[in-house]
Amino acid sequence: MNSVGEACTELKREYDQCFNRWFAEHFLKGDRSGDPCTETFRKYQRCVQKAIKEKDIPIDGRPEQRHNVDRIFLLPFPSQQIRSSIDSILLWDQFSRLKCECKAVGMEMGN
Amino acid sequence: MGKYFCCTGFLKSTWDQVCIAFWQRYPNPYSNHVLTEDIIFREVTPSNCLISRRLLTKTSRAPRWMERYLPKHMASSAYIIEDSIIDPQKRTMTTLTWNISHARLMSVEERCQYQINPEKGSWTEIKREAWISSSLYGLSRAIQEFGLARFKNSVTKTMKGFEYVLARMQGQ
Repeated sequence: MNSVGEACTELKREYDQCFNRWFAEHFLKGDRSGDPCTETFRKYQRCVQKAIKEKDIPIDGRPEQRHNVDRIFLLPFPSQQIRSSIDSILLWDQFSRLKCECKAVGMEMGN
Repeated sequence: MGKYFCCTGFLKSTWDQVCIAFWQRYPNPYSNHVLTEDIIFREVTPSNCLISRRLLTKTSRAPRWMERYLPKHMASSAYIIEDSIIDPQKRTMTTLTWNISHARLMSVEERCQYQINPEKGSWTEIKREAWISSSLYGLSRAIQEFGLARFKNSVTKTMKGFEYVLARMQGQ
């Protein structure tokens, strides 16, 4: 897959490879030992953040609350709030108890 | 105002496999409209959750009658942000996706929860919700209808894309 910064695609691939391995073999297994991808991530980010600025892509926004459902969105990153306590933000249970005004309920995916 | 949509689907793969596939889902045969994909923020929180922000560029597939209302200088591609939180302890993943371009014309926000299927532990349940709205005077209803129809179509493609990537992973 290409990066939004054409020059960053190779750095992205290198990082993705490192991340995918770490994610499957360490993170998901509860292994909290260090992240081996910090350096490749840094190189990739330097490139892609520059491309984002050059293309003037407004990445720092957050979705507007368009309806009066009492729920909490994921906050924009980076943010001190989100770093300190993620778990309190996930209020799916509260939300799923609300009446679902679905146009298509229970659509079965997969076969 | 706006359209609300929700559905629950499932994938016949474990939650772990689905999370792994989540980061490898592009490209796939059902994602030709996705042009670029970038992680623009990622961190492991003190409670060992992985939070990430992904920026996607997609082709803007608006019908011709809608394109008339797009500013001429606006690119034919749309920018989308996807935030995600993965909790390997609770075995849940929550994602929030929204478009940061064309938002006044039509805004689509999607929230998904991926968890172990309560009836079959080796499957993954995906609860999906979307809010589709448009603030374009006089056309908002037509745009919302179009948006909802396109969203339902894209949900099918998303699931097919997932199944494709999962099958490829399991074949390795």
